[in-house]
Amino acid sequence: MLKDITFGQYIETNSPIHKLDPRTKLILLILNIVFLFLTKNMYSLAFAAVFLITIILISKVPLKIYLKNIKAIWFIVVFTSLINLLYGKTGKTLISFWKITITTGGVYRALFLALRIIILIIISSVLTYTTTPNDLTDGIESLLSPLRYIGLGAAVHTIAMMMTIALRFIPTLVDETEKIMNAQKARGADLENGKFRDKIKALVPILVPLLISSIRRAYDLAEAMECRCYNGGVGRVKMKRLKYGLNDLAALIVCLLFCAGIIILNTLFKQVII
Amino acid sequence: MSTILQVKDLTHTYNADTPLAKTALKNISFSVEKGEIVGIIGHTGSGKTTLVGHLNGLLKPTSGEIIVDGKNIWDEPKKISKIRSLVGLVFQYPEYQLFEETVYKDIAFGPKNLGLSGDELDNRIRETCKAVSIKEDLLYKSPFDLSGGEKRRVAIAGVMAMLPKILVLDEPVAGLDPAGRNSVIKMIEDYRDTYNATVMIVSHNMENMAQIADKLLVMNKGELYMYDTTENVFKRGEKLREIGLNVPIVTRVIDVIRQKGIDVPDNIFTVESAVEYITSKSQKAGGLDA
Repeated sequence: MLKDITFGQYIETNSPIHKLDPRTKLILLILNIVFLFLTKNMYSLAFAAVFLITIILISKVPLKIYLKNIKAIWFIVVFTSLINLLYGKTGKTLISFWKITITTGGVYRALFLALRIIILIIISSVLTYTTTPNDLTDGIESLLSPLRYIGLGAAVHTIAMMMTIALRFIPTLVDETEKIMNAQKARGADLENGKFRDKIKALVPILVPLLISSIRRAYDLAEAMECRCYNGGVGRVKMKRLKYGLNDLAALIVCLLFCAGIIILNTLFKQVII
Repeated sequence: MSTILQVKDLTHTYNADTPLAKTALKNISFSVEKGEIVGIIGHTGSGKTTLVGHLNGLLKPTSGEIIVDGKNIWDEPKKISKIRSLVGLVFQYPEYQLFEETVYKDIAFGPKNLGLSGDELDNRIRETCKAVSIKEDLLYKSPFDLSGGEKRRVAIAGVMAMLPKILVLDEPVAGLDPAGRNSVIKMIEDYRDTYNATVMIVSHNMENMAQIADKLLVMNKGELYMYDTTENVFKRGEKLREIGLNVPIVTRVIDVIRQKGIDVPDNIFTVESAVEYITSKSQKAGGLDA
């Protein structure tokens, strides 16, 4: 169950996407998401899907790993689709009983949104799969660095450091949770069966030790960092400097073509879904 | 004596049917008699923890059988949680699983899950604590205010209070000071003696093993390397050294003495027995200070 969480994991395949500058990837991801939300009809969304599949192929990360992510969020997908299915009131009525009417417009909207969420999740995981956590935070720190002109330089470094640490500890905490779950199971804790209330109660013996060990780890880490003279971002230099290359320019061009494609398809086909 | 645990041809493969498949246990077979203390030793990655996980059904064997008290534990997969009251498993660093406000409540967690309540529950907790010498005044403290050794003992008591017939402990003395180690060892012995239970201990500490174990099960690369009485295993130091393990330090000292040409027995594995032997010898020779 917990092993299904692959979000935030780095997968080394040495693809062209891996070699991009993390800043490029961050900016392009934001651009992609914005344009994904600008899609207005099935044609532009289909275009976005094709673009995504191309990226997945280039990234060389097995499709299976991406699909695992969907498994983790299927509830959100189903829930949003269902709401839209029931509240869409446009188009022909397909089924109507009691207070529920399902229309073609509702079906379209449900499918449209489901696909959009799935694309959104997968495209975000491309970033984490192809970028090491360290690169990622370096990228964020560098992108936010202009904030130092308004006196927020220290804050930028702190946030970047916090993110690095948080990402670094996801697998550790997953391991820890599994260990504690096994230990409580060995003491007869029943985590699977019972009513909803019992299930919530059954979480206490897992969450309390997990919280305590996280705090303990935080203290240990803080001490270890201080022992190595860490005193925030002041005067700190990087071992690896980020540098843009020609491949970043190429990626930017491809991405801009994608954005243009979305705009063209949006205006070409007037059928508006949302 | 009767056999309480039987492992037959146990094999476990992690990630079976994938390219990542890794066989952690290969055709392990052994049996344990009631009331015995069996030590499990072996290198990191030799399959000790995997083996231990099978004993109470947390892991399912790829092939082979585990028979507890005459019954294959996987006969009824849905009732596998029942087996957890029969085979109590104490993980490494069990103090990290403490969560209640008081020691009393934490020890009560296991028996409560078995369906005990009221006076029965109260009696059970007090009885177990008495048997393994956990002081009454500890019961009402927060487990987080205790010292490391006390926490460890309380956490182990939490599993003991379920009165498992087989108690399995993974590295119960790791990271404790000598006093803490001794009190945990004593607690395990007390539990065995009071309830005539069977105990299996995974450990790297040969000295503690020599102190407590009746038999030793040696694992190497997922296979059963040796399974014999503690005496017979430690007598074959050469064979242990072949796989990077060793005999207790005091035995090594005695070996050196023997190599110097002094006739000493080869069954001295604890400091106590060494002291005993040397004093008896020196008394025969007219005492040390003679």
